[in-house]
Amino acid sequence: MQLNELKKLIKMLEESNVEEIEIKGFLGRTVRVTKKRADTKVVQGRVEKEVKVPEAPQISAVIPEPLEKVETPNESVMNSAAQPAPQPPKTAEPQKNFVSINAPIIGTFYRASSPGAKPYIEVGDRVTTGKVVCILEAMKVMNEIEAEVSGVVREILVENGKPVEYGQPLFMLEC
Amino acid sequence: MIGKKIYKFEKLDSTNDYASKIAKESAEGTVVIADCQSKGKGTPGKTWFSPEGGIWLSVILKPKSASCISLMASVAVYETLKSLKLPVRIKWPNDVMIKNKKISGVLTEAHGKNNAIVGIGINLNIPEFPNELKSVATSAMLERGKAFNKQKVINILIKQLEKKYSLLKKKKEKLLKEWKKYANIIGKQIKINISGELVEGKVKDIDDNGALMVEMAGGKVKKITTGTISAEL
Repeated sequence: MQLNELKKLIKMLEESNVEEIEIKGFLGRTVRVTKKRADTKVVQGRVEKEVKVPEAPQISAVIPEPLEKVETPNESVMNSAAQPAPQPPKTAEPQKNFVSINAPIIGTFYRASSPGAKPYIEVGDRVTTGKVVCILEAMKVMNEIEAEVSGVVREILVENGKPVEYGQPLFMLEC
Repeated sequence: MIGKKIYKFEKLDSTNDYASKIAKESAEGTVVIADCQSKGKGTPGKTWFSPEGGIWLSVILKPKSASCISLMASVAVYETLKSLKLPVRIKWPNDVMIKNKKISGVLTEAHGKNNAIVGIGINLNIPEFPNELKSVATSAMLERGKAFNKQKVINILIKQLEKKYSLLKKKKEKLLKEWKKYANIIGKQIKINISGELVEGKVKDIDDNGALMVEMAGGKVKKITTGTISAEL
């Protein structure tokens, strides 16, 4: 499941015009996926996996909060929990933030209030803080989960009816 | 106070849906009852068979946390049916069973921070079930061969809900102890279906919110809050 979530992140980055996505609390860790001119690297903990992607123009980095950048020529991605975190490169492009909505409890993920009903949110929808985005069922309690940030839904990361772990990203929002 | 205000209907789509609509402006403890429901809510994807003769009600609660509300309601139902001398048990997390057939189910919908709609269905005076439910459902009438006074049972249930909800708020650990005793699952080998995936292991413990701590093959312990138990050994 963890690998699938990472694959989705990489795909999302490939298809977007942003360079980097960082998620805090991704299965209990901080994960950053960075798109370089010729490659994409994923770093999670100490395990590094390199995935080649097509050439892409360098666009502004995406980091949820202002951080100090430390980057060596050969290592552009690092585990922020263990090392000083990088800062967005200086660029004229407007900055974009991607923030995930994570599961606050273990349970089963439902996109709508009932099977025939319209999903709470779809890709492209603008979500404001406090809006119900999904239901997580735990102990036969259907818990409405509200957005804690505002933004546009860019990705739905979990299939309807599937179990989720605590902290697992459910949606990716562009803020 | 539970049952201070009661809305009664001959028919509703779903008592939970009606209660959800009026929850914000209603006092805690407001009850919605229907003689029958056309779209009674069960586990997502399933409707609850709700003909006349059963008890179909929803209670509006405003708890600080909804995490143990369904468990609390299942204990109230257990005590109610036990008082009718029915040999009931709780099947994790909150179905009330006679042998391997369901006589009652609870489904809670938590809206926002502190609005919880507790839906309770009890198969009371139901003389027969559709073929697809015959092997999995039973009623008090079928078990005892007689009809029960429905209003009297509703009154017992509301009193029990009041009692158990109060216990949950004041002494949660005591309520959980009762529930653990009636659910009787610790130490058992189980098979549980979680969204189509079958998980098997031994129940080592139950946490403070009723989640199962299941030891899988290899010794890893998995916390489970969702799914349907298909076998208890």
